Amino acid sequence: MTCAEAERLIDAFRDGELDARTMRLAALHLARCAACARELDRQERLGELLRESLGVGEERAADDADSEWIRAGVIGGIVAEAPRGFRLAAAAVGIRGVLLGRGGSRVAGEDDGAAVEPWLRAQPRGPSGLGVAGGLIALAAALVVAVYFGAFGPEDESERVARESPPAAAVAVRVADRALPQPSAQIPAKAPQPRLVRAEGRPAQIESVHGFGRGEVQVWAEPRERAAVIWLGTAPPGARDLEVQR
Amino acid sequence: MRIGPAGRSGWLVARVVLGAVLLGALILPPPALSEEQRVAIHVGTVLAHAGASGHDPALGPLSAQLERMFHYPAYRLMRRQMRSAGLGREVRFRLPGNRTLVVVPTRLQGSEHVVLKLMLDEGGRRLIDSQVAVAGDAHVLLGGPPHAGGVLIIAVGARPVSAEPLPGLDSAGPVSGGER
Repeated sequence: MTCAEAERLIDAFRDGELDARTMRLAALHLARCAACARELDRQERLGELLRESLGVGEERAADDADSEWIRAGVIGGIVAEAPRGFRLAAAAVGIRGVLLGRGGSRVAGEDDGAAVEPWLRAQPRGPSGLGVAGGLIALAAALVVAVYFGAFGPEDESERVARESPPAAAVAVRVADRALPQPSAQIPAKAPQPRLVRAEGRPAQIESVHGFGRGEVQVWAEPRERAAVIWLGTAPPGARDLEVQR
Repeated sequence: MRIGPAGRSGWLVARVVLGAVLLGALILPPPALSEEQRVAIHVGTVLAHAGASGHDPALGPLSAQLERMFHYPAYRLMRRQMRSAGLGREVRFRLPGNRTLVVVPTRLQGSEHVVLKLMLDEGGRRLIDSQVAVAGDAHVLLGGPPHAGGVLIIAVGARPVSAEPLPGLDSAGPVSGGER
């Protein structure tokens, strides 16, 4: 795993949302790369500061049967019952603290270091037996791999999802606020996107909407509530009296 | 044409310099990213349902707002998530029911608006692709996906955050070295 990949996965890693294999690869990388471990530390600290400054509480998981819902920031007492992937994440955090010379988060019920699975431990690096030629060959190989993945690498997941999604659906605009946003004209049934008038200065505004698949998509503004709404499917209760323009 | 000793040594020096530059480009890390504008994105996932009415205290002021906007009997906060990202960086929020909210802060607009791309995926299929702008404590509500006998209402807000170094950490960039 490269630093760029690790950086992209750090948030999901923090939340224990990666699959077991990716979690393992990310944990290995974070255990060995001080720069990425520092970025993880920075992200955690930034999250704490944001929570304090914005007055947003701790993340909260639902009483949901969905096993993917793992709470973030609970490296404390419940690690023992957490899924394997999350335990690995916690272990990696512990390793990072050791590598950086700071106190890492402690894995519940176990000593730092002792809790780390053998494959996850930082490997001692002895003197390299490779000569200059070996190093150059490795660099050349890395360059070839980088060029290959740059040109033929895996497709971005968002692009793949968008490509595989069904055709766009019609969008209705419910006019809760006469001023904004409003459709500029009748919207043909097949049109995926109404032309919305931009509302400069509104605290929340919807600039464009593409709906996919069957069913209706509705958008409207609630300026008094400092909110705008995108709604999939039938109108929610309370929005019945809004005028609909298609 | 014969090349004299001075010309040969000059050619040798040029080759060494060129080699060093190429090697440096391969080995040295790219410029630090610490100066990029970051955006704090917060996502609250609420289950609106027809069960026993009652207030979920965890919703805070959002509870009264939801009651004014929609007429569901009950609202329950399922999850509150916060992430930060640089402009143009994609952030993925896992939601109930195998859904994912993909958020990309694309630019700042005026003094406080943040323009976001919001995409909602369900089981690998895109449901919504939109672009919105929010400022301050305002938010966009993305509602309607059915879940657990009710519907999900996803509140999304964002605001720019300072790119100043965080206290207690060194001033090095987030990924200024390593195996890039």
